[in-house]
Amino acid sequence: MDKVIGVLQLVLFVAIAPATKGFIHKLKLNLRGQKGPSIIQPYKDIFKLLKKESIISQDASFISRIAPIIVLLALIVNVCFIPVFSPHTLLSFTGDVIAFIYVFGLSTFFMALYGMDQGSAFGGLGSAREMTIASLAEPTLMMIMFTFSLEYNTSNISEIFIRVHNSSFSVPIAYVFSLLALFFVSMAENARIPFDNPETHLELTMVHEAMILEASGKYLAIFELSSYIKLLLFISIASNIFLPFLYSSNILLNILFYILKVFLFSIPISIVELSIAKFRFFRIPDLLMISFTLAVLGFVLYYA
Amino acid sequence: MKHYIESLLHSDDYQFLGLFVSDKTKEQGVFILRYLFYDIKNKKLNITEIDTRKEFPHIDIPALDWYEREIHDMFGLVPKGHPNLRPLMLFPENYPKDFHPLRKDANLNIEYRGYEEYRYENFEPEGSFKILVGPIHAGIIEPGHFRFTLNGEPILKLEIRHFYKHKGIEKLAEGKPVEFGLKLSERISGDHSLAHSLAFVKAVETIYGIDIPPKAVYVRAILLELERLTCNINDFAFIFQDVGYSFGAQKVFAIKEMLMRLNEALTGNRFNRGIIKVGGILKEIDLNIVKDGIKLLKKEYLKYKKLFLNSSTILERTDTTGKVSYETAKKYAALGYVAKASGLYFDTRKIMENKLYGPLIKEFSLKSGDVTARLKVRFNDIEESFDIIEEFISNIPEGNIYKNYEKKDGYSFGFEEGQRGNIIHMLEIENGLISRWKIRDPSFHNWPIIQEAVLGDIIADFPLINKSLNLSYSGNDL
Repeated sequence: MDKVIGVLQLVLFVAIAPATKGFIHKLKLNLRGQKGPSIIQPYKDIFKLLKKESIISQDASFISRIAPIIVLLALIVNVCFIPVFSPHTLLSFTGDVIAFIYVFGLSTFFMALYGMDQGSAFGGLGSAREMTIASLAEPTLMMIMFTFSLEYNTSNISEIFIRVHNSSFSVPIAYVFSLLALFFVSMAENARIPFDNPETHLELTMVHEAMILEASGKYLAIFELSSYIKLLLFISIASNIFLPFLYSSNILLNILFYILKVFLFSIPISIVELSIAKFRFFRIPDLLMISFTLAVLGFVLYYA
Repeated sequence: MKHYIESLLHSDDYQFLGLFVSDKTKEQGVFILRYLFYDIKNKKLNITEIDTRKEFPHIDIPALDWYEREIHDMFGLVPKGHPNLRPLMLFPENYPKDFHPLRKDANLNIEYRGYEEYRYENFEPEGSFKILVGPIHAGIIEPGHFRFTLNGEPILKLEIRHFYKHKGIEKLAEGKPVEFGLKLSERISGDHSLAHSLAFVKAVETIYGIDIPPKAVYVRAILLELERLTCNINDFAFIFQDVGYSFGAQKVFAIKEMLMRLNEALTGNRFNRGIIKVGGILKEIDLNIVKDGIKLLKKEYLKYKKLFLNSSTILERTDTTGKVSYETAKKYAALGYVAKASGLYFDTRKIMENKLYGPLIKEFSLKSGDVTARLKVRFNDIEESFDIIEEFISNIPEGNIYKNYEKKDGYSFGFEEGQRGNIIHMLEIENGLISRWKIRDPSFHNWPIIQEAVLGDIIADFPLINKSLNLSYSGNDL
């Protein structure tokens, strides 16, 4: 039964990931007075791309063929760690907090390799920028995870989630700091404003988009799906820590509650993206430093 | 003569406006080069002529570099001692050597085949790498090639190459009637349709000796301000977009759209094409539509100006970015907002036509020369445009909207202040037909400045700097 729920969680997760992206985009456009495409547009995009021809640069090596798949698989493995609407996940073992962070790092690594492998000037530029951001965001992510591990005396993600919901957090202020830090990291990792502009067509300013600029057809479809999954991963972590699962025996009700939470937690992303400008690239380390400080504060306050 | 021109170029009392060449080999056996300056102190034009058959003096100042290369391409005249005489407009990949189309005796029925590759500057310091952008870009913009030499993110050097879509307008107009020239002039640069056609008709009217009726003068001025307003609002929206603040961008784009619809309601064309004619304007227009519309738009605009100036995250992007010093502006003879933002003031309306505008235009210039300064100059221009439109509508004189005229031959200059700066059309009419027409868009002066504006900035900020200069490809690429 646990495995069935695990598989169901994975399927549900991948199925609603594009809609989350569509929802954020639609909300953003509506808020600034545009009509915008419907929230199912990302699904249409993926199906359209799958039907198209994939062109790979003449200078590309085998990396360009395997990197998209590794990126997607790494993220799917990560989804298996995360409780979506029930704590019964497909993968769960002691210390999987650390595994989660490094499997995540693996996808970033192959993404950056792909950017450089195409031999275009923009790809290399994007990879360099992505690695700068990723290396600064990673410590924050670890610090946040460790704060929760220490609080609940376990390094198993599912266990953390179960205990978050069964007991109240002993230092609520530490909890708030950690979640703020997590918000910063999610914006950085998902190439959102103020770190990157997901809507721009200007190659010279891109980070994430610059790496996949040369991707086409099914490879681009895989990258797009991966970015939707990555976004939903962060939203799920934040929403499940803030709002507990519904321990109802009715799975359908649990699923509905989860989807509601996801949409609720997508709203701040749209609003932040509309209210500030993208930061100057060399200011991004400052911003990530703030998020690291917040994470450390959360960590320290737990001991205080 | 060379030293005299050099002294004018370096003097703060003279604004260099352009170098214009006419082929007079048939009549006088020489080419005439006209160096055009404006004497700001004595408020008059200063035209220095040089006659030549083959060579003319090279003057070592960046402002003249493109002019001299252009003349070398188009007329085959040689600037003596020019160190870097690469083709500018006639690419060596596409045109044969010794092909000079603007000479009267040029044979256009030749085989169009290149003879060598374009030579870029050789600049490869250790540890640097190059990023080549364009000539085909993402998004709907025109072709231009940008070669960056980078050391990580910081830009060490930028070399630009333009003129990929040289249209040959000046050659096309030779031997055609003035009416054809007027239609062409509206199509030189899309967003400056009116300013270019006004500069053209002003040249024609000076040759014909027409004093156009005051009502037409006012209507033309109002339409010109509407065009300036549209362009400035558009630039404002693009600055919002390029700092990644899409909310502001969309709202300001909406104002621009309202302005274009206002134009359409007014004249039947979103770009106000087809309303200007030699001697005045084509038809009466109902200016009451503008009166009501403009108040609403001003209120809207002020809201987003405030938003911009109060946002620390936006100003953080634009302050100190893309600095152009006064010295740089001066040595390239910068025009328009690029010059004004760096402390070099030249506005055709204020300096050459002050009688009409009077105190409605202030001598507004800033020192810092960055993206913020260029935008603040635009804010000032926008507010002046609103004032001018309101003032002119309430004071518009009654009378005819055009004057009949007799055609004459001769040569003259036509000046107009477009949104990007001073526009000049030099026109020669022989036997009632255009014999030489030289168009000088302000972008021709301002484009090379981008190579200096980006130094010291990072590559990720280039699009923002480019947008704050917002130079015309089409007006440049004649």
